[in-house]
Amino acid sequence: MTYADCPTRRWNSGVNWCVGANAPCHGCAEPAFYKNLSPLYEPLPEVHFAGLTPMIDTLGWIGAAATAAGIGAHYLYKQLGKKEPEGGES
Amino acid sequence: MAQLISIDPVTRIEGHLRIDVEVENGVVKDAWSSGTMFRGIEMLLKGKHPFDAQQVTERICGVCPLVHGTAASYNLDDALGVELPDNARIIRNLCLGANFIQSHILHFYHLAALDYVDVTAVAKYAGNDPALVALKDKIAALAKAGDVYPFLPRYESNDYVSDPELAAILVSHYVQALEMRKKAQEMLSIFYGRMPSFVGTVPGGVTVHPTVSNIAAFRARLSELRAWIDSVYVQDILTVAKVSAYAPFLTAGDSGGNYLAYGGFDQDSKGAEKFLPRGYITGNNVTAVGEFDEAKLTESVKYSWYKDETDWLHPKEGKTEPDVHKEGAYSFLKAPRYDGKPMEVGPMARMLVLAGLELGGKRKEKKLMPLIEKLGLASAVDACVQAGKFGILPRHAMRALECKLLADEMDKWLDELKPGEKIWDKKDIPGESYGRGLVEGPRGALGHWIHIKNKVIENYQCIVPTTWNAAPRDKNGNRGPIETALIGLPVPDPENPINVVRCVRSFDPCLACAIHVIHPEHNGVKEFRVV
Repeated sequence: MTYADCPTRRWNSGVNWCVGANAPCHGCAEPAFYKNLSPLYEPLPEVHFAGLTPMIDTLGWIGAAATAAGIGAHYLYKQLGKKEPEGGES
Repeated sequence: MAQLISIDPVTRIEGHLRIDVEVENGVVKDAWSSGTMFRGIEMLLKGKHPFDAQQVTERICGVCPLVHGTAASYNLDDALGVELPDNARIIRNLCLGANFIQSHILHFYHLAALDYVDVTAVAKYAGNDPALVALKDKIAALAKAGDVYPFLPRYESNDYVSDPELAAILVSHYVQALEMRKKAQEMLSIFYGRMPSFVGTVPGGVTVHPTVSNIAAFRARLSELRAWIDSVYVQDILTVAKVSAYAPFLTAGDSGGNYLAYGGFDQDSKGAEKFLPRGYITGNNVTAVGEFDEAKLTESVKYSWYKDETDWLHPKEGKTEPDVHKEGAYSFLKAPRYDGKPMEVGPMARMLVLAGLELGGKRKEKKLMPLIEKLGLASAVDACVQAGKFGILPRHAMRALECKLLADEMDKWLDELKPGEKIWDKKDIPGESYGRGLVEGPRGALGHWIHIKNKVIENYQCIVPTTWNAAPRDKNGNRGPIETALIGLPVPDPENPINVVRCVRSFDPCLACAIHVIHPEHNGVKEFRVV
């Protein structure tokens, strides 16, 4: 669990954040970074749900220290088979 | 009698660089360049999961994480045997390009310009332009409050641009440049999540699909930047270059005539064709561009604080074993050499390699030479060729020309993205494998090498651009490019060695690739033991 305000503040004038770019939270704001957080990328297990097409080309990465908000959002979008939002760009 | 001048640290660069020059009769007779910090990133990676590499090496530098993450991704792609999808290749090019734009603008305006422009002259501005009047008032208010950093203190010199009107315009561009850099960072963030410490490139590809929305958001910012680069950045470079006092800098500050470019911005999945070409030049013979051979890379540690037995190794077998009490050593930078020669890397190296290939008819389309003609720079380039020297001013000018060429090209690359198509080639980590990632960063040729064994990182090595440019002497006693460039520069006043820092800064050195080891509790510099 990482304690940071990235989900609300976002980065670069609010344009995006790590989870918005389909990438895991690496816990970079945590004192333990990086020594105790390796490996930073682990492929998500193949998850299949009845009636939904698996998203083969979607990158499923799970961070060793995903934020609660981040990981929740990631799993949710994956389960619903939807594309994640474009990080606040419109 | 010779006098030794030490500048430590050289300010208005990134990182910690010490320069010592020996001055005799008002001219630099000898020079030493020292990286005064230690970079231990490679050691952190030993025994770790290979996919950690691009995240960890990004932390080499907060200014250019982009290039390290990119080099690490290509390095891993190579080790894993990835076939990079076009979308991923293009997104990586676009983000690297955005970083070039940000970095080049940063360098000229926020790091180098104050070596040429007299900010105090803005106080004498007598015109009516509301923006410039506001700038004058702002600077007067800062001066009154005693808040004059980073403009003062400075080395005093009688050749600053001190015309109030011109100084005010240039300083107003200094302020605008902050906004422009912000836009370039936002472009990166669109595809890579954030900047710095971005997350969007991974071994095998990228994490964000191109969409109509993110392409449009990227292009909107790029269009603003292109207009500003054309109408402000390139024009300011021409203005400063025309100042008569700076005429000697056309050839003064030549680094010895050897240039190396790994090339970058792949135009096909194999990287056979690159927008910025690969090649090397020796002896300032621009039209004879040689074919790069990776086997000819070595690093000398004769004058570096590393164990002597690690001298003259190829980076693939490179070792990072500090020896901080070594007699005669004066830098934490190793001395990389190509075919035994020191090489300047960076925009000047890339543009000269490109110019050489264009002049030799080896490029499909000429882009640089027509631009040089159009901007009226042909005679200046000819003068450099005749003298066999490319100095401080060409180094700044080539950076600006590269910025323009790249920004214009990026607009075309956006059209080549294909929403809905593949962005990632999944490959498993092999039991044992070697990889290399050779790319160009804003400051020059960057190489990462990896050895994977038992599915973890056995060895990781980086040779960063400033290691080339700010390198110390090698085992044969050859000086590094910055050391050579300083020799012969006029230093009329030893208290104000302005020309020394003008020359050093023209290379855009970035020593941040060297890190301290700080103890978290007492914040002191920790002694590290080599076991």
